[in-house]
Amino acid sequence: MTGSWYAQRFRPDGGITAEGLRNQLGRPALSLPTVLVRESAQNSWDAKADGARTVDFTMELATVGPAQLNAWRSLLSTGMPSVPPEVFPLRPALREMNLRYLSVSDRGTKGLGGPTRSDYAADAGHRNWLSFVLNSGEARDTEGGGGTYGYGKGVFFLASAVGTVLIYTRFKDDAGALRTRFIGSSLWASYTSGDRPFTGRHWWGVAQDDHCEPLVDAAADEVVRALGLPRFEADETGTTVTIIEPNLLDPTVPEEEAQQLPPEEAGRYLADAMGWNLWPLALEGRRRRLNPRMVVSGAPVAIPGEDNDAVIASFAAAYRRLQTPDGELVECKRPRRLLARFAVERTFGAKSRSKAASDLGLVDDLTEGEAPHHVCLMRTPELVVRYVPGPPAPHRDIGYAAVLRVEDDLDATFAKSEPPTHDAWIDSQLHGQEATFVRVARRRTKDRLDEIAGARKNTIVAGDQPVGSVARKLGHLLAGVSASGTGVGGPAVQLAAGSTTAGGFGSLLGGGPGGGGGSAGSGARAGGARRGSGRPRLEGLPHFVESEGGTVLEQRVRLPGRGRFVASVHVVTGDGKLESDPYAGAVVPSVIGWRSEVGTLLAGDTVDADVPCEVTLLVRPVVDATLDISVAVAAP
Amino acid sequence: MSVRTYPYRTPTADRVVADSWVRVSTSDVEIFGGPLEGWDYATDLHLRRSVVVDCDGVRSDAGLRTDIPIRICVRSRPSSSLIRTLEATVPLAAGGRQSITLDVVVAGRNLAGAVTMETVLELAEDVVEPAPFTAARASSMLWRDEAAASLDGDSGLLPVAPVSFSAAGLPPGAAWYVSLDTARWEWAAMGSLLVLLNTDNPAVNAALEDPTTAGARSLLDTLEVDLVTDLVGRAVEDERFRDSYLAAGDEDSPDDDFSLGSLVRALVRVRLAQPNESVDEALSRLRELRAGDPSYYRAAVQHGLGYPRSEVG
Amino acid sequence: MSRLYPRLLPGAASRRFKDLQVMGPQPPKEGEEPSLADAVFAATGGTRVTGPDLTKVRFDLVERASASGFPTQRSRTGYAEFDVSVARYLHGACGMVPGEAAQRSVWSYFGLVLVPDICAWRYPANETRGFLDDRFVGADLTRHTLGRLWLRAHLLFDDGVGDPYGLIVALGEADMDQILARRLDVAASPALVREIVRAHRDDPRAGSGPKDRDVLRDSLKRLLRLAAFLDLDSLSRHQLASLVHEARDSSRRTLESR
Repeated sequence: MTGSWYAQRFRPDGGITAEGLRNQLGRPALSLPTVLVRESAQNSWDAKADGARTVDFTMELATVGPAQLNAWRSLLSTGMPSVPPEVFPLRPALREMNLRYLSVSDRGTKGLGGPTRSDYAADAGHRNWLSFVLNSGEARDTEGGGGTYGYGKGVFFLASAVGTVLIYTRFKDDAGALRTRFIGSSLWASYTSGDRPFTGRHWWGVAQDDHCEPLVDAAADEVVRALGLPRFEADETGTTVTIIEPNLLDPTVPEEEAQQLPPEEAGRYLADAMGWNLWPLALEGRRRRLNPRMVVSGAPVAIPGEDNDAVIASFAAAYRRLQTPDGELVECKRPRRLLARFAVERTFGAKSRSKAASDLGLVDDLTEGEAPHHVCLMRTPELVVRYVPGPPAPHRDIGYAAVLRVEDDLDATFAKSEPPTHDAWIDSQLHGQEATFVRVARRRTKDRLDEIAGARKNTIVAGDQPVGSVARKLGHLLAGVSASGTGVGGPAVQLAAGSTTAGGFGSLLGGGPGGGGGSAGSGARAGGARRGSGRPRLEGLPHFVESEGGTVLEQRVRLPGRGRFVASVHVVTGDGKLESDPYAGAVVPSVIGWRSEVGTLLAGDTVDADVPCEVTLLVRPVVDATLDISVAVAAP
Repeated sequence: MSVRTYPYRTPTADRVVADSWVRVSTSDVEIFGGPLEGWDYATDLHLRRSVVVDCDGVRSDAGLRTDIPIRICVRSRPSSSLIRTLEATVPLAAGGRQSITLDVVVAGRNLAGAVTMETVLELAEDVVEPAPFTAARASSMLWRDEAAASLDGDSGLLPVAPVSFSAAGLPPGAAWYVSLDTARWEWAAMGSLLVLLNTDNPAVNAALEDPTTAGARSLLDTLEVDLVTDLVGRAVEDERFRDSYLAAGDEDSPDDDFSLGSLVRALVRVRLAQPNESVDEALSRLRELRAGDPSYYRAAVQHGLGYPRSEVG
Repeated sequence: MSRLYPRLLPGAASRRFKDLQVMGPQPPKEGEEPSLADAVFAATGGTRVTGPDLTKVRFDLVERASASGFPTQRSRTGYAEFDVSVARYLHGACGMVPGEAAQRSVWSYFGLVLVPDICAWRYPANETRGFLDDRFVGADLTRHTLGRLWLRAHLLFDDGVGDPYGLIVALGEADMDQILARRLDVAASPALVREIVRAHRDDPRAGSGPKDRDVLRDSLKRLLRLAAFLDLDSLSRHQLASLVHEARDSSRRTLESR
């Protein structure tokens, strides 16, 4: 058995036109390839089979090989409506030698089972075929499904330059047997032919009077084999949607000027789009994960992810932190409700440069690249809803990658706020508390981003006018809290250090050379204060005197009375301390002795007195050495 | 006790007569020595002193020939880094009495803590064939003195930054902006409070130039009352402040943690509380006042601060 | 315009140091800005650094430390590389005026809030005393893990030559510490320090006779005596160089004769 085309007529009670269906998706803010990746992956994720750990999601861009070209032409021409190409553009496309297609396959998914005609009742679990192939706009019935609208599949038709896709699916029927189905579907423009109006929806399959049935099982498999499209291995289930003549215009140039991307570039773009939109589902270690793959003419293309892209790795790190204590709670105060969790990862030097990231608003300058300054919004399905930019960090190389994930119990609320393309949260679509929740989450996120970027205020650069005197005039306001330590040089540690050095070598020199200025002379004065205390006192300053044995230093000393006194002399070093560790072979000064008032000389450093008297201490000086001379009461 | 001596003869004290350093600023002249009011890194210290040197006497006391060149050098040394900077060198080649004026500008960026100014009379060159134990090496110090001043006194400085509001995206004609950066009351006041002064505003600029004029004083008085009104008002409104600083219940606990919240309590205690009113009571009263009659609240702050503080004229 | 860095007042610094002894270093959490709790800024005199600025400084320091083995590997050569690259960085790229960098409390913030993990890697706890407080708390600029590096760069900064930080690599840590320890005299004159380092680096007799390090240390002691009566700051570079050479020659001769 083989198939042929079936054209849908308007029924007496009306019907939706092909144009109407095509327009349902609206005009997405994102580029078509990005939307295709997001919507098709979401469809696949929502369709994951019970118990499957991994959903394989593969896009394959290829050209129909010469061996298969005849099969494509003969099979898909069968029963083709006799209408002009404007309303059925597949006809001229089939004559092309380079017939391209993009197949989107998921495995580990349920496949499209259930009734094949919409006038038969089917319960919730059995509507996959109906909702994917026939109906549109009906609510999802999948727990944690990515969207509340059934528009996801519309993008496949938009993505085909000829409005035509081929659907091949395998599922388990109620008896547990593996079944396959194949159907073509075309959606372009309504028209009138032979006075009869047609909706513009066509199916290629087993045409009936009032609808079209798919080819099934062996017949379906045979057609797919003949067309050379991806098939099923072993007991795999899932769906492959093949987009004929995919519309892959360069999204970085205006639509009017855009050219079809060469296959390698298109594949690169789609691979990047998978990485940037699907990374949360693709993370290793998830309980159930999506495994995205991109193949161009049989060759795999790497998908950017946690392992090979620094920016995605940063978002992933933030995502992983959500459930740890580092995850911040985003709460609404009135009514009190936990709305979402938030986490952020700082980035340094990580920059995005891909066109797909640019499409998501992550990068403006594709040549230089850009550090991320975004929060990735997500909810229960953990697909990227959107990257919302925050203020850039002040340094080019610094960025931040944040993730905001809505709490599961608010998933429906936030889902409702999304437009059909699931790329924003719009509270005007909601009412009452639900609107508040969306608004509060958005505002708190914005505040956080401002904070993270350091953009609470504009970057403020202080001028160079001295303002200290003004600060001082107003300083009394701080009286309660500004003990020393808050001024520029305040802390006690510094004051201590200051006082040490302020009294450094200079003032220690005391009654030294020239007596110094007003601040010198502390040594002599300190001595004066001790007058009569029983200690020896140095009178005046030492001076150099030439003598037979060379130059000596003489210092007058007043001895207070009976007792033994000892003199010592040391080298002073630049830090004002006495030298403790002279250089090798250093000459050190020495005490020569004492000369009494009557001129007798006593050698050695000690002297005895019976009564108060004045003596002269003789010291042997050293070239290039400042000296410290002291006299003390000798230890008994 | 001990004395110290350089390894060469030095002049007697009366050979050099030096006046005190004075600080030269736009508004007045003050003796250098006390705390330098209102210094910051952007403030260069302009100092001046005159010194009279009996050059012949110096040389003869020091045992130097009359042709030996001497000079005066000035160096500065902050207590923080202890790194010295040569600020001036004045040669004194001639004999007789020489009177010189030392005029130095010490760069503010190098300073912190306290600064010590050293004045040194020294040999300008090495001496060929010196007599024993006379100064011989260039830069041998013959006389020196030093004077130190603390760069900031014991009382506090209110954190202030001069900012071009037009460049910063703030209302360009404004005079100031009280920035409570994080509104985290438990953080140090000196970290989270900052008053931005608009350098685009001529009156503000004039006040920065010379804060002692009548116009400047009146402007600053107004800033003061505005700041306190704002700060206390925001505190009493903020539940985070009330949680941590109002319901404390322990009236006697000292507000000694330097936090912004403690600053508010201190301001209220010192300026705004009525006789026999506790800080907590005053805060509650101010809050009610502000909610019920904001104008009266402002008047209460003006009263508490004695606004305007400056005498007229 | 200078940048004002946060400062940790002595009370907060000692509290945090106690915590460090007990719990080990608590660096800023990944993705969070370094805490400004307890931090104060100078009232006036520059532009306060922002949280992102501090994050950047931390990142830069971590990057440099990582290149030298942080956090797991510790080696003499790693430490030496770290010291050199961080000295350059702190002095050349952080926008601190010397007055600000000389504030001990700024270094307390670095050591106890911004990069305690790096300081703990550079100066690990020892078995008897644990972490040494002066490596973390800014009490002595010559001892603090990072403050000493800034000081080193500041003293050796040689404006007007190709690489103004070229002298940093000329001396090892122990030798440099010898000089830094003489802060009130020798190290108070950066020009003298540079001549000392230059003479050490360029000594044609290096490697023969007495150990280079002994020559350096002995000559430093000679210079210390001179510093007590010479105004080293008014000497020309040439005069300083000849003082240093004279001291080195004398030391070398004396040491050789032993």
